[in-house]
Amino acid sequence: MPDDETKQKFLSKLDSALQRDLTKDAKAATQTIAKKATQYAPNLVKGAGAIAGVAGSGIKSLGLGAQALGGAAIGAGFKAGSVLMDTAMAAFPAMMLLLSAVFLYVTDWYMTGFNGISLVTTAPTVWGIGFWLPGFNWQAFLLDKAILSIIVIISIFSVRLRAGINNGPIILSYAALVYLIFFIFLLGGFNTGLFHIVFAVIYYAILIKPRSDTVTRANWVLFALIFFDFFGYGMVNQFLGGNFIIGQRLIFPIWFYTVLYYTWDSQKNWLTYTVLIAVILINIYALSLAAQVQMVPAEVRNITPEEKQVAIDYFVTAWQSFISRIKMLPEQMQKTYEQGLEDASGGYYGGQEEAATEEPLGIYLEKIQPASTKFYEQEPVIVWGNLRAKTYSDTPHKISLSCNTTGATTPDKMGNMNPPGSTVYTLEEVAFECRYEKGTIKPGTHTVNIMAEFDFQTEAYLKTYFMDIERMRALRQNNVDVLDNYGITDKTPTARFTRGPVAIGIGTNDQLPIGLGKDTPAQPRLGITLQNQWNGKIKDINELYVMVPIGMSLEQIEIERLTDQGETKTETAYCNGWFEKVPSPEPEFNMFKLTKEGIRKFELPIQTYKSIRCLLEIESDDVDIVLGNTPISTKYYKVITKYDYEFTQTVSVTVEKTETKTSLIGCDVVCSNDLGCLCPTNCVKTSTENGKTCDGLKPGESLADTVKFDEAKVTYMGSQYTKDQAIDVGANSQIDLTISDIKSDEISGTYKFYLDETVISAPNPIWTRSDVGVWIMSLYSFTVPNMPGTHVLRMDLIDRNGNVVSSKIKLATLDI
Amino acid sequence: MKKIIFLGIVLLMVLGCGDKKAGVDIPTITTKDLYQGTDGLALEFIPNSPPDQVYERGYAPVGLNLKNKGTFDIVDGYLSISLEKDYMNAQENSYKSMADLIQYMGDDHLLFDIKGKSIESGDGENDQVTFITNINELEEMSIVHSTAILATACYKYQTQLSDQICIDTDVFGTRTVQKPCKTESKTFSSQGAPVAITQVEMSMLPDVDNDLVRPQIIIQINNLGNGEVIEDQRTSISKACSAQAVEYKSWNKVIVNAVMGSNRIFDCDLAEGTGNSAEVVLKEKTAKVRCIYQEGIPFDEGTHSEPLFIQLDYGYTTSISKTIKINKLKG
Repeated sequence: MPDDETKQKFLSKLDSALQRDLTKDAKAATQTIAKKATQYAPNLVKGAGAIAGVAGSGIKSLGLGAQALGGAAIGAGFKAGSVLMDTAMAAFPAMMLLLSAVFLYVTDWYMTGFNGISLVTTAPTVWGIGFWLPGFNWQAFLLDKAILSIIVIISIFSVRLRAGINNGPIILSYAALVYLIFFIFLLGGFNTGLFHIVFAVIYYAILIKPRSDTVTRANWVLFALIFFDFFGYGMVNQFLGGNFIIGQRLIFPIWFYTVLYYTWDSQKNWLTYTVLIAVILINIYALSLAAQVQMVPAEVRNITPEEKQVAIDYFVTAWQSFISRIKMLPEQMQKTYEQGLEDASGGYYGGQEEAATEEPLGIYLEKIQPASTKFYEQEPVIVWGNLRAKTYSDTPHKISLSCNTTGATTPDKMGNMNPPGSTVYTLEEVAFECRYEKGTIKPGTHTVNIMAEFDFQTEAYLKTYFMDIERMRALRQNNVDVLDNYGITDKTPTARFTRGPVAIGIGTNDQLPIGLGKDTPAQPRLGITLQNQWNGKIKDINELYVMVPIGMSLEQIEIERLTDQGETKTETAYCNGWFEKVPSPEPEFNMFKLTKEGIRKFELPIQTYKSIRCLLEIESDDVDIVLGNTPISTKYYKVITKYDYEFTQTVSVTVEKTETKTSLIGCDVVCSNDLGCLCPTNCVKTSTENGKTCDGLKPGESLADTVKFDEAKVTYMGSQYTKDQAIDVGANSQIDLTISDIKSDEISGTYKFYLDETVISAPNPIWTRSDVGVWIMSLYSFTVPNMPGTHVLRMDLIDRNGNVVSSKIKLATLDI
Repeated sequence: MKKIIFLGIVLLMVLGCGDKKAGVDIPTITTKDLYQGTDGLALEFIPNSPPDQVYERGYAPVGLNLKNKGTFDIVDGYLSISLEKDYMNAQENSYKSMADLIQYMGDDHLLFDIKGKSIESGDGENDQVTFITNINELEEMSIVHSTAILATACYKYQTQLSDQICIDTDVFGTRTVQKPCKTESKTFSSQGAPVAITQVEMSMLPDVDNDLVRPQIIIQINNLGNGEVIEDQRTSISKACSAQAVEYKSWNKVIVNAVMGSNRIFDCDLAEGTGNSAEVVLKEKTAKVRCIYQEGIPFDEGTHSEPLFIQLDYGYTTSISKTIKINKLKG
């Protein structure tokens, strides 16, 4: 046992070291403390029985740091440690601590394979459980416990003596720790779990104790963590089965979480935030998948390859799940939103058109088009179209047609629709005309809306199955798919609705068949959705009937109504009063008609969808009727609705101003009318636009400006020559001269040909011009004069007024 | 003389091995052939009856072929026809049985007696029942509708297994003489019935005090057919083909009886101890039952073979369906 002087010496040196290292890196502080402790620990071991037991037998093998910290902590009562640890915690980067936990995890995985101590195998002998079993070694058991007890007792005295601690709970907590660590040592837990003890002590010193209110609490936390680390995983697996994540060391590394918890508690920085969020997210999604991952019970002390694979699978699955959830987030949000809408609207019940390949039924507007590409203000605006009806109903459909215009600058105006309405039968086509008298629509572009309102009928039905509930339960208890058993392939029937502008969805219980019994009344639900399918709206519901199989009824309630006389009258109402019972045309059905109150529930007009939901009732006496006489009863719910539907088709029309154009008196007069001007007959143009003459010229422009001769070509004896080429011709020979590709805005005129300065021909007038401004050609034959030598063939272009537009244009060089 | 006798024996063996006429093999049905297969009653729609598509306000013939492919004669079997009566109804007086083995009982239920395979008749009996259905008018706006016709047959059936087992009273192998047979487990594929005995594990339980052994067999039973087993009670079987409640306990119940030798009856009801028959409940279509010959066989009977006969009694129900399309008559 060290004497007081030694003890004081140790503590003072410890304090000195602490003071020196308060502001330094905790690692250095730890090293310093380690050195001090190393120096004094042997004395402690040598002198003190209790700590000698721990340090000499157990902690001795923990290594230098562990000895130091353990010695310091246990031997010196952590007096200095608490100060040191706070400081160390403040200085020690969270990153280092987290990395150390990762390091521990990696050593378990790759090096030691440490997986705790199995209680199952140790229980009978070490823990004393199973003392009645044959071969139980009482002597060894008692000897172990005796030694342990002695060590613990000595430890307690040692602690009291060294640190002057006289607090029962603290002493007890120390004793428990010593007992546990030594017990682990006796069980051989240090063989592969040495690192765990070392790191446990480090974490205790750096994290747990500084962050705990009392030393006792810190000690018990350490005790719990070590106990769980060495025994807990196995116990979870043993007693709770292998499907618990916390029973999987590689999935739930206790020390990593411990470090994360304490670093998070003390250092809320980006790193701890990031790691914590990542761990939480991974675990949230992974926990939901826990059942999908086959766990391996940890009954062995070493991590098996299977457990590693489980851990890999776990994290891979968790990650994939996390990513998939992230990907599904928008969809989920959309669904949540839609679900909210559904809840608000009574749900959404789907359906399917019964024959997608057939020609659609309903009333259609086809071939809608304006009578002209543009209209002038002073003429009527007409839009034509055809109305086509196709229905299987013998009931005629009343259709009303109307049209209006919408424009940005003008108020909406109704047009005259002819015919304004029609009654159509099974298959008809009616032509209609929407007319706006002249001047009704102001110039500009307008949208003409053709609106058709018609009454139509849509029917829907939903197949469902009923079965005696006992039979159904019996089959299900025997793992028999009930519907399969009866050869039913349509196991999830969908409502089918007839074609038209409205879709009717019907929904009932998801799980079919619906079990019925006399003693087990069923209340299947029935949801109905009216959904607008076209580009219009359900304007009104005229009638809506629900037909349920005979023996069933919509849920009945007694309601009190106020009569016209002001009296209260009790009535039987169906489905919250939304329906009333009416005679059914089909004896196999009970029929209910939507009341006005029910119609209000649909909140007309319907542009998207609206739903209502009712419960169905089956009286005990009616169960047999519903079930019929066959093992499985196929029944239908039907919905028939008659409604007014309005839809619109649009077409754009352009109306222009109809002011008269100005008639110009000369070709060179500039037009100053926005609508343009009409030109005299001898001008280039028949009409011209504002700012131009009838010759197509802007003010100040001359015709010559528009004439381009650069591309002029001469064709002689079948060969084409440019104006710079010399052409050998004989005197008095006949030459056919063709001139083309002279561009001009001039429409017609005359020209003169020259050889040098001599006029050789002046045909009158022979040239015209195409609309696009290209003077096409002029064919001219002349006799080459007897003027031997080289001459330039030139041409004057003269407009229709005799003005020379372009003078002596070089056409070719003739060698005569 | 000996040579003549020897030749005679050889000739007898050679010629007696087959029934050959003019060099053509004539197949013969043996008991072994009979007790093959996992079918009981084979139920199927006659091709094109009903047709795949019909028109509203028309008619559709429906035909069902019933053939007993197993070995047990079905007596008072039930056949239930289930139609979606909103769309089609059977004409009551149109039910016809080709071989008069099926009788219409009314309300879309029929009763049938169809014999199974036998040495005498070879194949099991076969009958066809046909009827006409009226196709109802579709809803006003409806163009097409798919409707299903279901048929469910419920009948009592039986599985029989005959085989040889080896009774070895020398459990401890103390006798030095060569044993004529060996106690062993046997596996079987089928017995010409939907419920089959697939394995019989044989063992001898010694009772040294009384100088005897108690043969024990563990019988494995499997429902190899495509239907469900129901208890062998007329009411339960008829209920299975109706809408009436059939309670959980009635399903998957098989009665097992086993006899060895001439009159050595196994006690298969070891738990209840109320009789020799055992009621076994199939779970996941399979079950095992243990039977012991309680009286035991004296040691001095030595090792010998004895015939084993196991019989399973149960009800069986099977269903088929066909979906047809009803089209609207346009115009």
